[in-house]
Amino acid sequence: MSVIHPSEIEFIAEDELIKVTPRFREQRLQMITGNFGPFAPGVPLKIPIWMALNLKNRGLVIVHQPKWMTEEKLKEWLESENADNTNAIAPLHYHYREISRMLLQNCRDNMSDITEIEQLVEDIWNVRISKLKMSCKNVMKTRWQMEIPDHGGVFKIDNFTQMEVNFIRGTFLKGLNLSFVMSNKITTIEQKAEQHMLGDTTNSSATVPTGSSAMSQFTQSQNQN
Amino acid sequence: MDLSMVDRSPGNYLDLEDIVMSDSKIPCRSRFHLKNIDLHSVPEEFDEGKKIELPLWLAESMTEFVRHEFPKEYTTRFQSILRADPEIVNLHRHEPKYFAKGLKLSSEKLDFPDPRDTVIMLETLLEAASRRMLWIAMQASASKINQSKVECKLDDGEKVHYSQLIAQQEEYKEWKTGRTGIIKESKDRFKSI
Repeated sequence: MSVIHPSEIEFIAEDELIKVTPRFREQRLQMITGNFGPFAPGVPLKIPIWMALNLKNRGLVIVHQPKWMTEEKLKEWLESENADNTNAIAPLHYHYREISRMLLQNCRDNMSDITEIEQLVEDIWNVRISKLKMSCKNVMKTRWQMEIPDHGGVFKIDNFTQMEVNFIRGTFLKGLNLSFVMSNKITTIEQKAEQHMLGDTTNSSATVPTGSSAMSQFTQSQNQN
Repeated sequence: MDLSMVDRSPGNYLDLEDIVMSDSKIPCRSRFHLKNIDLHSVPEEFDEGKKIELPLWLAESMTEFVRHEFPKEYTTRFQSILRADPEIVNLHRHEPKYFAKGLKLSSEKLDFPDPRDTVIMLETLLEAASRRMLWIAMQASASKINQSKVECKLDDGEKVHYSQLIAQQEEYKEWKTGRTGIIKESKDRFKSI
């Protein structure tokens, strides 16, 4: 079962916009995803992360730390996550894992509280993943107990990011496929056993007229109609 | 082994895993007095009710002549052990393709005394497979664990899944530490001595 590589999800996250202050002058750039610029030294603007990292590595911009990526905001988020044991809280950013990794690797000189932020992001990830794993376990439990939940078996994945869902995708889908194959087989055998029993009871209880008596009963009913 | 291929005839005709699995034997009892049966290169006679071990692929075709019985790994006694604690059972020792064979035993071509036994067996397999899958995922994500000790207990399908999960964990760790872009030596390269 193919699973998306984390770097592919990071590639999608690189399209997110981030605030930078350029050190060079350039006119407006017309790109497929949008127009960016003009670039003037000291004038902040928003550009995609892939462009920001490229310009940062060439020393042409200063990358600003995103507002959600501070020690205070992340601590608050972690406390909210720990307060609720079952449901995940809406993330501060949908690509929080990917963006934090990219910025902490490439833009450390422009960031503050790097060690604390690294640890907080890791802790938040671990808490959310454990909640997701527990939810998956509960879904698989309803499958092997052959129960139909109150909501009719429709499950929603709320507040989890693409990276988190991708992390459990392999095991969860394999478990679901396995349960579908086995439960289909069980249903088929049970239905055949029922049909077999119904066939037996029908033959034993009904009095089926045979031969000429059956014909005469049929013609009588025709005449009455 | 892909379980969806087990019962998909003729799609599984050329599947090597299915061929190997179908060669495993199941106990059968002859319905009649059978003469000149050439199972072991010597013509033999089987009285009615005599126990014979036949490979699965042959047992399926001989439904007219034999009644089938569950192998000991699929009997009520073993299933109760599996229900109690599926994670500790060494499935590889009992049957290398345990779940695939269990699914194959539920085939319509086999004639077991009571279809309810087949349903109970499948329900046990479903629960055991699901619980083991969750356990395997937990073992794969644990940092300090002896992988060979885990692998020796798994059946062939679970081994494939376990190695995929290990590879996925490695991929994630490499991505986290930014080592995804590093060019590495291919595993297929043979080193000459």
